[in-house]
Amino acid sequence: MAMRERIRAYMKKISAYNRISHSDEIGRRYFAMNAFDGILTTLGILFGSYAGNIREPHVVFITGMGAAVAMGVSGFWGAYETERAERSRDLKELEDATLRSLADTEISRAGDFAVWTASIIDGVSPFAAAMLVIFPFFLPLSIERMYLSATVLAFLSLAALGAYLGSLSKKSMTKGALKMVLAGVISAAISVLLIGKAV
Amino acid sequence: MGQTRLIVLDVLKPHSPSILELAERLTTLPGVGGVDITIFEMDRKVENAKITLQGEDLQYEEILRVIMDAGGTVHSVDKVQAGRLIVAEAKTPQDTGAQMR
Repeated sequence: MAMRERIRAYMKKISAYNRISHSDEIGRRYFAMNAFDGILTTLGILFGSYAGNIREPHVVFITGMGAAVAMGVSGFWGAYETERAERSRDLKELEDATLRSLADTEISRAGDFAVWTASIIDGVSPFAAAMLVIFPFFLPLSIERMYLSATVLAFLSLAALGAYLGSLSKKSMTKGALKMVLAGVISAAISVLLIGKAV
Repeated sequence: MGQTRLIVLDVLKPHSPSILELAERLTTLPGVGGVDITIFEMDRKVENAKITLQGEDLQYEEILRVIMDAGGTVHSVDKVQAGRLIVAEAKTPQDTGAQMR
């Protein structure tokens, strides 16, 4: 019972922080933006590896994982610094308006919460999206099937992300999914054109 | 020691947390029976609120802590009533605008 009360109090605090800092809205935005980045980057690696005639699954997997880690760290770091700077400026402006220091108030704690939430989402979403796409290279499949299933998985993830954004904006989920898939197709087409010329 | 039964505060606070949340937090304090918060001035980033608290034994330090934690500043304590009885403000000639002849 005490545990339940503690969880309820914690949830209440988080929802209060959300209302003050709008961290849920920022989190959603970061999630969609960075998951999209993660999928497209990994799709690029897939096309590049295929065109480069790489037939060793571990090479594709390691390259993809390296990119995933780099995107994760870059996302976390970038979001942390950006959000920290923005939140500090907002707090300073509010302090000027209230003529007092707001350090260690609910407002500054809500700001810290938003910074950490945004950073974690920004770091985890491209990493998770990239790992999901290269996951077939970890399975006991033929190399051709690995490339095929990873590409299908990438386009399915793009469609799911588009549908999610469509539902978020209360517009058509199908349209949202198609728009994202189109981005994947364009990215793939440019890759093929450029790689085709280079190889 | 006499119990404080009514306090009226002039508070400057940011828009968030809202007066709904602030009122909810103030009513959870021991000794607080009820709260009224009225916004009488609104600015771009802040708002001025008149906070009236009534109860059996109001703890000013605790009330101040909740307001400060919500980013508010108490500009002035405009009215206090304490003791066993609620005493109405006495009328004096100055209040009725009496003039010397």
